[in-house]
Amino acid sequence: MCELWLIRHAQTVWNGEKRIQGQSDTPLSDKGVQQAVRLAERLGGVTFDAVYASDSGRAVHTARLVFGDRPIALEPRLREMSYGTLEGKTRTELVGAERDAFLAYWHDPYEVKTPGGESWRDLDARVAAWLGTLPHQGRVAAVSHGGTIRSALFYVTGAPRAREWNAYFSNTGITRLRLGPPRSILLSHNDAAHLESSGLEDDGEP
Amino acid sequence: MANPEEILELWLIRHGETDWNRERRIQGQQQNPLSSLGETQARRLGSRLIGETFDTVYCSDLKRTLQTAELAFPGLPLTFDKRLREISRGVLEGRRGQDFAGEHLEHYTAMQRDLYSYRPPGGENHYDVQDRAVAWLESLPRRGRIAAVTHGGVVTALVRHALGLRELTTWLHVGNTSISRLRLGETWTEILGFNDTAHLEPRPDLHAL
Repeated sequence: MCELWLIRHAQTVWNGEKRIQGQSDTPLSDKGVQQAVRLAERLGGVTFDAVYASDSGRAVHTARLVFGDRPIALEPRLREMSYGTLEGKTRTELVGAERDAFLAYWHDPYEVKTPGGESWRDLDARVAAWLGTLPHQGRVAAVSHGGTIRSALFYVTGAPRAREWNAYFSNTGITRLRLGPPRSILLSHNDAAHLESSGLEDDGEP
Repeated sequence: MANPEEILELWLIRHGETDWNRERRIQGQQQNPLSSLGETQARRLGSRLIGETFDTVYCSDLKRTLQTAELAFPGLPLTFDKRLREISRGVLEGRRGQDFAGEHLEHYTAMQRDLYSYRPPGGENHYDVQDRAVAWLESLPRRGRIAAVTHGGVVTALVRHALGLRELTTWLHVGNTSISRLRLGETWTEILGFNDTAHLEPRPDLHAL
């Protein structure tokens, strides 16, 4: 069985400002860089047969800090869901038509696309396609995004895609899966123990 | 201005290793003590938890959870609750998969096939465990921070409950002394983390099951 370690990128400047990021890119914050360095220390002794990263800047930068100069396969299918024209704004900045569009998406995120962006259905399809390319054994790491990792988690576990976001993903948190057949196994979700008692923990809000 | 929502943060901890865990014996509600590895695991958890505060520490009233709680939360009062016990497996308790023959083999085979719904004679199924675990969960105040030292069956039941599921096709692996965390609001539940055994790193020999 392939053991897959999904890692959310480190904190960015926009994460800190609670801006909708989607496929827009901002650099890692200073805190984010430190988070990635902590994770690098923790993973020093762990071997991976392959490392993937979403080709978004924040994921690539996180992967470079965590995995050094080992080869990293850049993968567009691991990008965050696109939020189209909503990207860059905080939720409280959304007004008028944009706010309506966001709420329409929020009420039915599986079917309704964000304006100029994707729906969960679009995200799930590309994540499932990428998962299908993984080898059947070994250990693989993938640096990606909260929405993408959530998609993979729900796909592998077969849990229904309810409207509520009920699994949280910390910056540099690790979600580990063993991919079947036979039965898949969830080994951990959102392990960010390397940030504990460091002042580098997430603020706790998605 | 709206009242800030009250939120409960719940830490679910599985007990440390027992000899029966290592031997892969069905343990259920038997009163086995921690192995010496299990005691080490629980002490490591205790070190990690120094400085963390909890309003209440609940504990399944079986020996392995009591011992784990005493080492992980030394000196703290414990609130025992039978609803946090491991799934009872009745006549199948004490044996390993390869030990079954005759009538008991039929029960064991049926259990493997109907993983969630099968009740061995004298035992429970996973729906029973989820019902009692959720009853316990719903008795908790929706504020503050609570820890519960419990068992794999209860942790998985509550994670499935957080996902709104009675059953799951994927196996949820709950390690000895692992920490799984939920946040609960008035009308919602969120999984913050599942099966964190970072306090046992980087020593592979400290991981049992």
